[in-house]
Amino acid sequence: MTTVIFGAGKTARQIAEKAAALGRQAILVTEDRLESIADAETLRSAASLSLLTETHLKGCNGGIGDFTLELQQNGGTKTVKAARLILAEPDRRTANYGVYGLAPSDAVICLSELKARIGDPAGFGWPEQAPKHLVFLHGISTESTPAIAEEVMTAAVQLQEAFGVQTYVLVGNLKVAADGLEALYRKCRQAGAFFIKFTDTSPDLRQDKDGTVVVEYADEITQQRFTIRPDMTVVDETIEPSEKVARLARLLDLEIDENGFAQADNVHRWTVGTNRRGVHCVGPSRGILSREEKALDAANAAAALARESGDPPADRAVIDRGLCIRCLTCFRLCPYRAIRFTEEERVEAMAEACERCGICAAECPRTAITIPGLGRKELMPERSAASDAPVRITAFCCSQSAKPAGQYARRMGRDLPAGLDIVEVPCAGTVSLPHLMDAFARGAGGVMVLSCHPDNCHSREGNMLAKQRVELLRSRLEEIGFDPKRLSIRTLASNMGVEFGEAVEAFEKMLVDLA
Amino acid sequence: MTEKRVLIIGGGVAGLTTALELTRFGIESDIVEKSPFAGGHGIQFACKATDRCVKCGACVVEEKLRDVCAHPGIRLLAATEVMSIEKKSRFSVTLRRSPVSIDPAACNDCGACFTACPEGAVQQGFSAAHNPFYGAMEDRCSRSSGGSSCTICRDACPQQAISFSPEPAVEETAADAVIAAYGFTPFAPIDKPYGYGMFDDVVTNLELERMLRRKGLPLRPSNNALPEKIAFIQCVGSRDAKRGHLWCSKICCGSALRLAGLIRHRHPQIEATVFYIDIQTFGKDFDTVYPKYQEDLRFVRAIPADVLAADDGGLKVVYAADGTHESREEEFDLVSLSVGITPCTGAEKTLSALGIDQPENGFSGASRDPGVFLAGAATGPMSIAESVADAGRAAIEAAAYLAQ
Ligand SMILES: Cc1cc2nc3c(=O)[nH]c(=O)nc-3n(C[C@H](O)[C@H](O)[C@H](O)COP(=O)(O)OP(=O)(O)OC[C@H]3O[C@@H](n4cnc5c(N)ncnc54)[C@H](O)[C@@H]3O)c2cc1C
Ligand code: SF4
Ligand code: SF4
Repeated sequence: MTTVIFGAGKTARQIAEKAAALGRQAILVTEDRLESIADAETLRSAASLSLLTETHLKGCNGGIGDFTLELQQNGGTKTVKAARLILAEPDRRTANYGVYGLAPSDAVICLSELKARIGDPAGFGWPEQAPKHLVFLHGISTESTPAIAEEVMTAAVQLQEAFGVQTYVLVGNLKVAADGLEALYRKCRQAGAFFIKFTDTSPDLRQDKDGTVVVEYADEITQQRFTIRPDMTVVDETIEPSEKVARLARLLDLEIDENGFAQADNVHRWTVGTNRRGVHCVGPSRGILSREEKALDAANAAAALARESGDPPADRAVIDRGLCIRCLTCFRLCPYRAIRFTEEERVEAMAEACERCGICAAECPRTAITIPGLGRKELMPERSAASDAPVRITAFCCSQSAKPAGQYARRMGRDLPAGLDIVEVPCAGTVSLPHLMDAFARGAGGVMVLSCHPDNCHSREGNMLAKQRVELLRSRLEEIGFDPKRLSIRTLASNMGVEFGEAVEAFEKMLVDLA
Repeated sequence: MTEKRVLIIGGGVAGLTTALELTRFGIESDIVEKSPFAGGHGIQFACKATDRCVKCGACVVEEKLRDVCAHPGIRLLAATEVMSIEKKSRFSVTLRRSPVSIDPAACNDCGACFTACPEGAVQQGFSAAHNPFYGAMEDRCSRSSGGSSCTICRDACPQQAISFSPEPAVEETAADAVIAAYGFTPFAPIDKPYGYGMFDDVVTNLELERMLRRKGLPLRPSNNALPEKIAFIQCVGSRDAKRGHLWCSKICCGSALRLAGLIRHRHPQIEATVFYIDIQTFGKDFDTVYPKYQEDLRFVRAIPADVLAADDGGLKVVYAADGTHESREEEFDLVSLSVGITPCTGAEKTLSALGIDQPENGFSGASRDPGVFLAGAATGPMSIAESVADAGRAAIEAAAYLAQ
């Protein structure tokens, strides 16, 4: 069982060590050159480890337990097999000079540079040439993060205590939502740092020709105006995903969040999980994390490596070779990248990667895909509604959200419509046009699809696909003179019992009024 | 290795997740949860989605609870506490079950006990996964506290589902490792000058969450009507040096903004004001959502000094207005106090029996016993996502320990 870890930084090494402790073989793959990797020799001498430098991912096929990676190194290509892949690339930092309208100079530096000076004071002629007054510009007009706030405050304490520098922290919202930061803030103030907060105003910053900055501001509480002439100004930094992560995410077909980190902003994703089984994303590859969170990620990635991937389940998608015309609809739409090309250039669903969302089967134009339990004859209401009900309603309920919400509504004693038939589906994306039409054909006066909220779907956009289908069918129904209001879709979460009750009750009332 | 068993104290999202993660290593566990309703605080929260999910994570707790209930390798013991625990070759544990028990097989969710109990001790569950759906809170039940022989709930039950045990029922069990996941205690704002406990319409964020979960509406407790103006007061009991609470609770900014956003989404006529020190970043999409909240809600960067009664039944919030040294009074008809996360109370005996250190801030540190692991907000303020991550860490550490 080989694991390929992308990255050669701290997080990547931590995981490699844990993999070794579990007796797993690990390959560290990095685009960096050997010279730029700290302490590369120890990495290269570790028995259970190999290091591939200046290596670029070109392609990836297969799924958990059986990935085939195409790598490029020194102009040549190389194929590597791996059971699991871990993205552990560092993030990228941009100094916020532009945000504050300042140019770097001897008197204007960024946070990383300040840290370097504190780390090697003698090299910079400190303490003799250390500044007397130093201003931090931190999270003004942009929102910062606890990770950066911690660095600013740690530096301020060191500057105050070890070098006798008077520090001023000019800040918008001070981000203390990480372990120990409120205590650090107090310590910082005790050490003598001034914190000046900005809400609706911001300081006027003027950079003189010699590079120094003059800061003018009005105190927001007293309206009094102040001027600071620091001999050093430190701008904070913005953390972003590195280009490497962006490239890997693209090549591995991983969902990204709105900042470009390689993990979707979806609460149902496991800590170090991605949309692909067996592909994990840790620390600075998945978001802006605090120190503690990074440590937790390394532990969770190790937990993933420790697991054995069991036998593939039997109830997954199967593509009928005779019917498939290789239109690649399934390949495009599978949120889990469970569809692959075989060596004979056929399209195949990998049982070990398929999550059984039903999206491919619902969208395949040739109905070439079957999933046990989700066929037209199989998806039937779990209990038939009372025959004397005023109207029969079929509600397709996502097992992740609407199904438990409905159960909760019932248990709360809500008087749900007597004619309500619930059809549980693994994802609203399962519900195809034929499923919807069959429900009407079985005698439903109204059909509902109850899905997860946008951004909350386990299967990325099964909910959105369901919505598109409902809208399509509604317009067709209208064309044939059938009231499209009889078909409806709405979103719910598993804890929305009240709202479930209200939705089905209102739907019933509407149908009764129509009749 | 499969015969090894783990005892998990606390059935919040951290305890539930640890149990699920342990099953991936083939390790079975018992979750001991003192409340009748597992899921901890998270199971009480409402979904705050507007036109999309706002990533509060409440539904994750629901999902974990469902998965735990469905897993044959996990025994979930609700309304149960650890009475004593001792390390011999293994941990030998004495559990105590609540004296009031409702048989889930007989109960048909009619709620007669809930209506009948004069003490309000019988409560309704928060989730379809709560079995039985009703449970007696021991701290309010006169049988357990006052030693009374009240039988009102039992007599009210048409299903004869309720039984009392004369002595608290006791069970002996054994474990090879222990996970302490007893979570946190929300700050009690009684001695803050905000009129909590005095004015009906001053509620905590947790009470507002529960109300939205159970009723779907943010009602004023005084008259069950929708409010017109809601104030959210942040950092109640957090970032409070006077109390030695030198921590940010991490979650209350996100909670308040999401709650306010949901309320305004459903009832755009309601105005919402947030009183705060610093708005903390929450969620991966903070940079996109925060400007929207800034447009939708009113933000006042001040922590109010007082909440007083107004003549017309409303509430006056007193705070220092910007740009002046003067204090200002403004009327609201519902005030939500964003109470923070404080160390868990009531588990002290278990804590010391397990050799768990208590650092200065009062949360739990590490244990001196290599077979005891901590997970979740017991160790300090944590979001649901962080608690899940922490549970994953605790599970692999426990699995590694058991494999030795
Ligand atoms: C008002 C409010 C809003 C919040 N909103 C959010 C949000 O939107 N998003 C978010 O991510 N987080 C939010 N949080 C934080 C969230 O509640 C925590 O992250 C989460 O509950 C921590 O889980 P836990 O399992 O560690 O602890 P808990 O949820 O506290 O669970 C601990 C469990 O242990 C049980 N227990 C305690 N002592 C014992 C004992 N001695 N024996 C047996 N059982 C015991 C308790 O009954 C409880 O069920 C919020 C918190 C509050 C107060
Ligand atoms: S069912 Fe879903 S997960 Fe499985 S192959 Fe089809 S689209 Fe992919
Ligand atoms: S808003 Fe919260 S409860 Fe609702 S779907 Fe999103 S994460 Fe789940």
